[in-house]
Amino acid sequence: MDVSMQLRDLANSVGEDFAMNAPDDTARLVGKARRGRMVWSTGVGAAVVGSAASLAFGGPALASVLTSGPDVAPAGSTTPSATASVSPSPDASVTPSPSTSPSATPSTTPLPGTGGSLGGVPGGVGGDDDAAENESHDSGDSHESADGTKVDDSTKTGGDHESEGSDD
Amino acid sequence: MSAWAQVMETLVRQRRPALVGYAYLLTGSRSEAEDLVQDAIVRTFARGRAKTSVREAEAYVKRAIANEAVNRARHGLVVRENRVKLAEPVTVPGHSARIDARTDLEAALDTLSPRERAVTVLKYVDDLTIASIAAVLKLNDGTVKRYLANAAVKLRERLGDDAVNDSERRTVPVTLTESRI
Repeated sequence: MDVSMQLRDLANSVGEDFAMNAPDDTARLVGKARRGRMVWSTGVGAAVVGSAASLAFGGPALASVLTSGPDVAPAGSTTPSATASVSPSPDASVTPSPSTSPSATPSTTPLPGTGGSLGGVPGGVGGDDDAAENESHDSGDSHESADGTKVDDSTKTGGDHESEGSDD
Repeated sequence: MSAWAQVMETLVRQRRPALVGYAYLLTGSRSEAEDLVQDAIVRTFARGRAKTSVREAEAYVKRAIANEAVNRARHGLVVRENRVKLAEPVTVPGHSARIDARTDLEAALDTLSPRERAVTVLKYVDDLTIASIAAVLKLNDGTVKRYLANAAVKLRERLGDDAVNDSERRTVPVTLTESRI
């Protein structure tokens, strides 16, 4: 008998022996494969989505930074403003209150709840919007319409910080 | 139940014993063979595209078993069972000769290196060509031929000239066909 037949006989005898005492763990194996399949598909799916997102969003920005050397300067110019916006932004919440303390102290007290968004974001855009919004929201105070000009002047300085802070 | 799960369940129920026997040829250990088959089946169905037929899945699992057996053996993960020569039964005529042949074959297989053993199984059990064996084990054709030649020498020493010579005579047409290609 040649080696091929001997090997097959040996495999058959071992297989038959195993079949007599084979554990019935088919469901367990299928469950194990299903869990592995979920992990595998999740990993592959996340990798595919991540690479696609990096190509879609990060790709052009990264390519522009890498390819255009002089264009790095505007990117650097934004970083000081970003750093400047971070440090004054805590100060901006403090400094307007002394500057506007004679007139705008009663107006700033309702602002922190709602006025943070009112005076902050449009302040960088224009003072007219601030005045309109102040009039629209706080219609009861007649002083604020007159103070609105003052507040606009004060919020232009503070508004720059806040608007940049909002960009961050 | 999804299609791949049905294929896997059918494979486990119907073909698992044969796969354990196949893995035993590669490992020489019953427990290691069972563990190897279980891992190969789970890994086959846990990754990649779903296998649509039992036959395709079995072929894939067998390749996984062969590769994993070589890897484990080369990394020293296989603890070979100490085989004890079985006593000759007196009552069953012809049974002793069969057991002797089996133990001789197992002893002969134990003399092979992991790759020589895998090449031998793929050649003599699966009837794969040199190129196919090389593709499964990720080896060169010349390397496969060298492993086969070394294995044939070792097997001939243990089993006699007849066992291996018959097989070599049987594979001559395959070799000629490969050389023509």
